[in-house]
Amino acid sequence: MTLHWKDYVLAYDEDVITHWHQACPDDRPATFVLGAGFDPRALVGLTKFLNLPKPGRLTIVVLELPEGPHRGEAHELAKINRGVLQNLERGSGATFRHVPFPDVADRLHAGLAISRQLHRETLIPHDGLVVVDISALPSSIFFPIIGSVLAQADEGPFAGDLQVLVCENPEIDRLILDEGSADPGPIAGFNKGLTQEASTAAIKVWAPIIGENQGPALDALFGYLTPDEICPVLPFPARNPRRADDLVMEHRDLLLGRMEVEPGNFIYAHETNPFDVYRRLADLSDRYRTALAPLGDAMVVVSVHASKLLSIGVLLAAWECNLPVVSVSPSGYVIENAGALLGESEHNRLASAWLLGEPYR
Amino acid sequence: MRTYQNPFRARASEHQRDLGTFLRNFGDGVLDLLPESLWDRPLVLRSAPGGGKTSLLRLFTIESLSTIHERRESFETLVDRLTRLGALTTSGPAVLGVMLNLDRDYRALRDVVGPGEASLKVFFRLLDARITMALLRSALVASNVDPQRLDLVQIRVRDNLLRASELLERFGGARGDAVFIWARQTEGEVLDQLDSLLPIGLNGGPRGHSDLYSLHLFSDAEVLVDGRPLGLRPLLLFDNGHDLTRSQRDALLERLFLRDLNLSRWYAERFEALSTGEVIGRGSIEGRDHELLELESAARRGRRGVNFDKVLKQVAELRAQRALERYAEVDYSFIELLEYEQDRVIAPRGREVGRTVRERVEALAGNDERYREWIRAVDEAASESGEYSAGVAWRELEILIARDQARPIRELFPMPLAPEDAERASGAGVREAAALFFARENGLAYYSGPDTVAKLGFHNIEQFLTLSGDLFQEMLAELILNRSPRLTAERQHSVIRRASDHLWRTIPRRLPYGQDVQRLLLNIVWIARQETYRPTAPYAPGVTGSALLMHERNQLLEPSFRELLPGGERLYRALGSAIAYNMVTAELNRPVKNQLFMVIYLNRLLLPRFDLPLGYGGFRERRLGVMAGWLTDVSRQVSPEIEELSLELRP
Repeated sequence: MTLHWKDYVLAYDEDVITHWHQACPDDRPATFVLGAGFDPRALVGLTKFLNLPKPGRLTIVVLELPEGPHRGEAHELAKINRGVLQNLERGSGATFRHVPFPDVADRLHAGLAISRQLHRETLIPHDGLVVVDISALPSSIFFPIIGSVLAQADEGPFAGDLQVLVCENPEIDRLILDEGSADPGPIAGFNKGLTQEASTAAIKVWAPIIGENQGPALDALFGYLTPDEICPVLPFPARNPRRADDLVMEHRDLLLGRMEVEPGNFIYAHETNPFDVYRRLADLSDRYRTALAPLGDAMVVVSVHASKLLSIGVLLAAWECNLPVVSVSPSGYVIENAGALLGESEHNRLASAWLLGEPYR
Repeated sequence: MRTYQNPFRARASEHQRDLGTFLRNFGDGVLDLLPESLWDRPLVLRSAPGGGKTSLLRLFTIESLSTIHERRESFETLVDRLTRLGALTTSGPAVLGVMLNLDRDYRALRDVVGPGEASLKVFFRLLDARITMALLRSALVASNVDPQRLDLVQIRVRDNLLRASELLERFGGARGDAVFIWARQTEGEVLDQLDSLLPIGLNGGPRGHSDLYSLHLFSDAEVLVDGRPLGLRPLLLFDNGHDLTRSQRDALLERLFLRDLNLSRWYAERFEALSTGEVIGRGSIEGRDHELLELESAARRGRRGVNFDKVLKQVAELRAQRALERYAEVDYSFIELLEYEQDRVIAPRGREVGRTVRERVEALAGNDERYREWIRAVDEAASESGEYSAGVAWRELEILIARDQARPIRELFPMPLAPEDAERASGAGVREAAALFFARENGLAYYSGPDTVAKLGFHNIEQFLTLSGDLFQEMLAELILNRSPRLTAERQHSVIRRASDHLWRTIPRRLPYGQDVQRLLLNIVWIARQETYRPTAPYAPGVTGSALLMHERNQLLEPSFRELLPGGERLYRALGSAIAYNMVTAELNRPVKNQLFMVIYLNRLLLPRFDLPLGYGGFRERRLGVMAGWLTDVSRQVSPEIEELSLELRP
């Protein structure tokens, strides 16, 4: 199997800015897409991007996110972000386009609705540099957006460069917890036949990327999918070499007891390299489909319960291998202390995956 | 190394295609909850998550019924009950049960097609396609024919009814393979549009039709396989109705409730399918045109004489039996392994603990002759009973004396009270309160024993299985150490309190508006503890709930009223979520002192975490404004000592 992103381009920290320069020389237009919510990482990338000397046309597409109830720590953080964004808007000289959050019945369909709107209104152009900053976007939103650009590149119209940017901060991840784990299902645009009547007879293999504090979401998806086989993906190598073990300890009742995961089914992927996750999942899909072909259709389903950075790998594998992606929708977020969250910004780390454009031509 | 599997935790094998495991573990007592009329009128099943709806529906699918029929000797009681219900005959299944999961795609139609009629039409068309495919496949299963041989299936309209004939044409004709192709293409067409990453063209929206035609078609047509009529009544089992949009759900129910349909239809949903107002208010669609079975409340009421706690114990035994046989190599019963001797709870401190409470009672009574006979009677009874019972009896007397001393009017010439007066003044509630007080004051195990475990299931199968799984894990630990798997009362108490704590701590992560739900419950707990532990135990065995006046509950249902009431909207949502997810039960129209109340009882599994009794009954009402204030007044500190209650027993 030949992988599209076998050779890849991934940058961290200051190298991210070098990537921007390389992808967007002179007066080439650039579009920066981001989510405006409460996450303190939402504007880190944009602030740096706007500091670049940029003679060409610059469009900032701000995706409004539902704020939830007008109370609590999340509301306060969102207010701070709004203020910072207004200042950036005033002083940048770029064109800002605000996209309101759509009114949807299925929250896992919001991303697809936004994506279709972005293309209908050509807010994502067919050329130049497009940066999608996923730091403050849920996977159900950014998967269809990035997927749609990949689809456009595949079918012809998109000829620009696509970079996916993420501001990683595991400390902040630990302080923001989902409230409620409702409505499990496929992310719109990544159903890939999962809900077809015929799929009820297919053998389902589920590969969740395991992260901390994700028990309720894992449990909800397990109930939804009723998979035949589960291959949890654990982070290794990792900065904390015991992290994979700690995760198994944290979820042992769920993984080993309730889900009856075979010890040999665990998959290990690099904690900070999304392309490693991508390779592992693509390989897993290939192996299972080949091995189970004599028994009928086999379907590898993926879900992300870990960092945003790793979710890029899941997205690429899902896109290339036609894997359904499932998720749950929280009703809100549990933030104990907004001050503590803001105090963790020193651990912010930018990473950028260059997915389409110059390096692959 | 030998691996030990916990049969209460392992859900994968029964979720999957291991039908045998599912059927072996099915507690058939739950079938007694079903109403009399099952086949002619539609049946609506409703419960909180984990209530057992899906398992109940799955039992009636053609795959389950066929397996049970093929292995009748292995499932004797199931065969018996299903035969009595009319689902099984001596020659095989009597119904063609087909499961249809409503959590797939339907809700998203509103987002792609838009709200209103157009979206409903596509909904009907997609659902028609799926009903048709599922029925055709099931017909082949029922006939034990290769599921790919759709060419062997034929649909024949009874009495050449015109409408059904037209519908059959619309569905692709009488041949099973042609109808299946129509259905698969229809599904594919809709799903392609739903999942397309690129914008859909203006004229490219999915097509629909104006009714759920398959209901009418299969009412008036029979299915033949290889030229032979199947002779089974179709039974459509719709699951997860809560995943539909409100208008889809209402439109589907309207069609299912039609009286002229000649097929059986069951529909299951969680409480969350109801609007928050309906969850709190209950009573949206109840009527004469269908049967309604709310699983938890039917279990609570003990429908048709069913003791649901017994059903739960049966479920536990079924699950544990094989594992215990395999691992212990001795014939153990899970329920019996939870039984214990009460006096062992108090040993070795029995005498000391008993003496302390006795001394306290004597000090409380002082030299008052009024209680002389009471003390003498308890002293006599205690000398003949075990140390635990004696201790509880002294603690009961302490409550009775405290109550008597608190009476507002004293006699002019005090006379000694007779032992019969104590019996009259006491009762099961006081004795339970005394046992709780006694255990808590002396750091003794209280939450243990098979009846307690069944009670803590709170009429919810999933909750009961999770708790039983925690206890079974301890049994496995004992077995690994080559010891008897019998659990002491202390071990059970400790496991149960940890399970209770876990349930409490995961509320914000599991429930919508979980933080507010937790805040609401914490305030109810605060009241419950204040009232339960008063020396006179006024609401014995204790308070485990709160209540709202019915007219205030009605006000809470009014959006305009909620807007004006600070915290009203949050209380409304939190209460709705707590009821929908079984964290509380709401009992409407309870008359107390000429007023009607909605009584809100806490989920029993939350009670051990807060040292509260498991007996139902006591509640303290609060005004609507006060309850709403619980959610808005951030400065209000609810008892940090409650939050930090130790989970350990005293050494």
